[in-house]
Amino acid sequence: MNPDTHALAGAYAVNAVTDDERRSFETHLDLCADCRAEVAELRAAAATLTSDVELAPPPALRASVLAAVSQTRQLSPLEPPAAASPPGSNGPDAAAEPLASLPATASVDGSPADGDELAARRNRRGLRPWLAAAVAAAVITIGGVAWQPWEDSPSQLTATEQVLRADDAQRLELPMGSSEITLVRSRAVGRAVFLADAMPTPPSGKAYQLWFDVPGRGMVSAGMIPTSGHAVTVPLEGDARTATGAGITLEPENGSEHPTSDPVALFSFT
Amino acid sequence: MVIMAAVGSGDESLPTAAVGPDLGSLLTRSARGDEGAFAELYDATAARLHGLVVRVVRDRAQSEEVTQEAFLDIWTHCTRFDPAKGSPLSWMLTIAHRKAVDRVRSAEASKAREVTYEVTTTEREHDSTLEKVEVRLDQQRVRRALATLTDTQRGAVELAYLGGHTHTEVAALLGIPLGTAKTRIRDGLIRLRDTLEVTA
Ligand SMILES: [Zn+2]
Repeated sequence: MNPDTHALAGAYAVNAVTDDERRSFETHLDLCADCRAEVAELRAAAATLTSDVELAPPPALRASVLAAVSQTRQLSPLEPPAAASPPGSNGPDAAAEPLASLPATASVDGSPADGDELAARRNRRGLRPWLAAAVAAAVITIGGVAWQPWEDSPSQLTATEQVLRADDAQRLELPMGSSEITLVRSRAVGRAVFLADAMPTPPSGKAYQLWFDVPGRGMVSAGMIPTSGHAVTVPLEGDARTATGAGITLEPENGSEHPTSDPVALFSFT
Repeated sequence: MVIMAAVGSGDESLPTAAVGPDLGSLLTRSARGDEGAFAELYDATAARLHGLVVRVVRDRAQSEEVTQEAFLDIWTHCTRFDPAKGSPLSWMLTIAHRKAVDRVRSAEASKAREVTYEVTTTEREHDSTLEKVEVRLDQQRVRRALATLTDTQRGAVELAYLGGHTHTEVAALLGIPLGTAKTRIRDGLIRLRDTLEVTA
């Protein structure tokens, strides 16, 4: 066992791990009571960070959730409780479902118990984009890249993780607004990643656009920075190998073909 | 002052659990397929879970989808809730947080994150009921606990938990070695736990 393994308990507790790290650490958790206890405690501690943020969802969401619930089979308990009788609504083969799977939405009895057909329809509509998003979430992988081995060999890393873990990762930082913006580029991976912990909010109707400075071609668009007053991580579109720098300009919301304003930030790779 | 003393003697680590229905028994009844109990569970926790989801996901429409997904997940998995692994609210928040982080990362993996809704951390309406006052004072306790973290620990914890970043991303953001970010996240959470005397 890697002696460093326990150290991941904090990051694991707040989901600050990749899927591979999660799988690997959960194998460890099965064997390590200390880490199991620590994870539970640290999760409770992290939860206090948002204890002042309460936001009631719209009332329609309640109807939607409850309509979906009445059509959704629960998993059977891992071990049948000694005293209590087994729940009647459990399907016989429910235990086979993986923990991370989406809730089954099979219509067990046709109509929702409360008869709120509208809510049920809204719910079915609501679930579809989520499924679509799950498909879109397929991890971007780039072959033949050197990364730092992580305990077990990770099978898939996002482009972002590959860049950030690359041996040749080059990190550039600039002040912007009240905080810093960061650009990390790996020649070996051929990609660059933009990160900010508090990106200033652009003026209404405007957005920040990323550019690569490519010799012979000038500024080439590398995509838009999601509008946000919060933390953001976004891989730049395009090949970071030949670029000698990167820049950010303020552009119309949908971006421009070429920069139409002076750069608010310039990173030089050389 | 009297109220302060009362709060100091309280042992609830999660403020919203300090009042209202017994989430544990609602979860137990939900696990037996009791939809009415689950509706009560929803009413008692929806604002707390949705607040967390919105804080991480930011986009309002997407947050609503994520909150719905979280509650459906809670419904299907409450049969396997293990009180030994944490309080009911902590367990529910963990599911909601995981869903929120997954949504943020899937958005980043496919396309840049769409952000149409800016969340502002809204201070609660302060009224004269004891319940609200208790919650508010508990907030002060949380803020005092946060103040005991070093700036670097707090930064790492917030980037990870609220920003939805992996520890690798946190390292890049802070310009610290890869292994250091996960240590800071852990040390920061441990200090938060110890100061608040949080129990799982
Ligand atoms: Zn361990």
